[in-house]
Amino acid sequence: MRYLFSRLIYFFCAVLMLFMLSACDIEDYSIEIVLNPPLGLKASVSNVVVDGITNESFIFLNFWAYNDEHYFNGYRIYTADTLSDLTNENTNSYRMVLHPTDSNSLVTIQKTPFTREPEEIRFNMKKDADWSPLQNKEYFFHVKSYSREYNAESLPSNFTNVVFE
Amino acid sequence: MKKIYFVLIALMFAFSGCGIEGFEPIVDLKPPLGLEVKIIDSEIYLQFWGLNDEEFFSGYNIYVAESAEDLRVQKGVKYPNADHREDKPTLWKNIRPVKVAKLYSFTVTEDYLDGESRNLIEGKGYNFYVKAYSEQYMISSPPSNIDGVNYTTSTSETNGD
Repeated sequence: MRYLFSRLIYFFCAVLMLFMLSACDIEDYSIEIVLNPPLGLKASVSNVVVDGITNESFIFLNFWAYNDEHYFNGYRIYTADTLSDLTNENTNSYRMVLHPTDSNSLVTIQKTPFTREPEEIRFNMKKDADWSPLQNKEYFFHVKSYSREYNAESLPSNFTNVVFE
Repeated sequence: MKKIYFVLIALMFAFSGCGIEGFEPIVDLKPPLGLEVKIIDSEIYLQFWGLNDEEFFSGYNIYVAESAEDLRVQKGVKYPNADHREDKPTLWKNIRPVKVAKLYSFTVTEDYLDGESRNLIEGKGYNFYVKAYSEQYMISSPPSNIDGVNYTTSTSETNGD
């Protein structure tokens, strides 16, 4: 009888442990991927004299960001010809501005996580998204932070626009 | 009987190591950014962007200090809201979670560096940052960027850049 009782206790404990483990929050191991969105995006046209003679024009973009997420890798700047093209998430009507020197990069601006305080990020856009020369037209922009590890983007920043000429 | 004790102790370990933190929701708030401070018509005008889609988001707290360094070491003073309700953030009326970035503004007409209202003082530095706030969890986001002005009434529009 005593043997049967101890077996019953063992069985009860085993079932309880299994129940505990199954309820032990598997979601603990899944990370919710949330990236802080950059904000305060502004665009303007800048002109610089390159070699004392040549006048080079480009679009100057700046925004504020605070990305302390360990899986953060940089920023993706997107451009489109109209605001509706830029805001339509269901079509590929907007394009990512490529990294200035690495066309295979997954981001426009490479950056590692930073924790001290928000930073102002600046970018000179000298070519169109496909590396063709900038055209005399209106450009619309937004920017998102990006995680290569999870192939995830933040919500888009505010939208802004500039007429390049 | 010793075996039973052993199993019970193991069971207690299982309970204690089961991660109570697993039941805690993630309650981070996204920081507001792009804060700009200007003097317009003898008033200090603040403008910043927020994108707080968290359902527990309640509003924004605006902090002021004489120097940016004071703000960095948490010596800023929270501006009261227009209703002087201490349980509410500086900006809370008509503020709801949003799905797209939104531009917010706040006008400072009084000095509040010592925690008491008085007129803005000529030549004094006023530096600010903003934090998103959740009443439900009583937590704040990381601070926005810092911006400020040296207060003067001599020009109609200036900023601290």
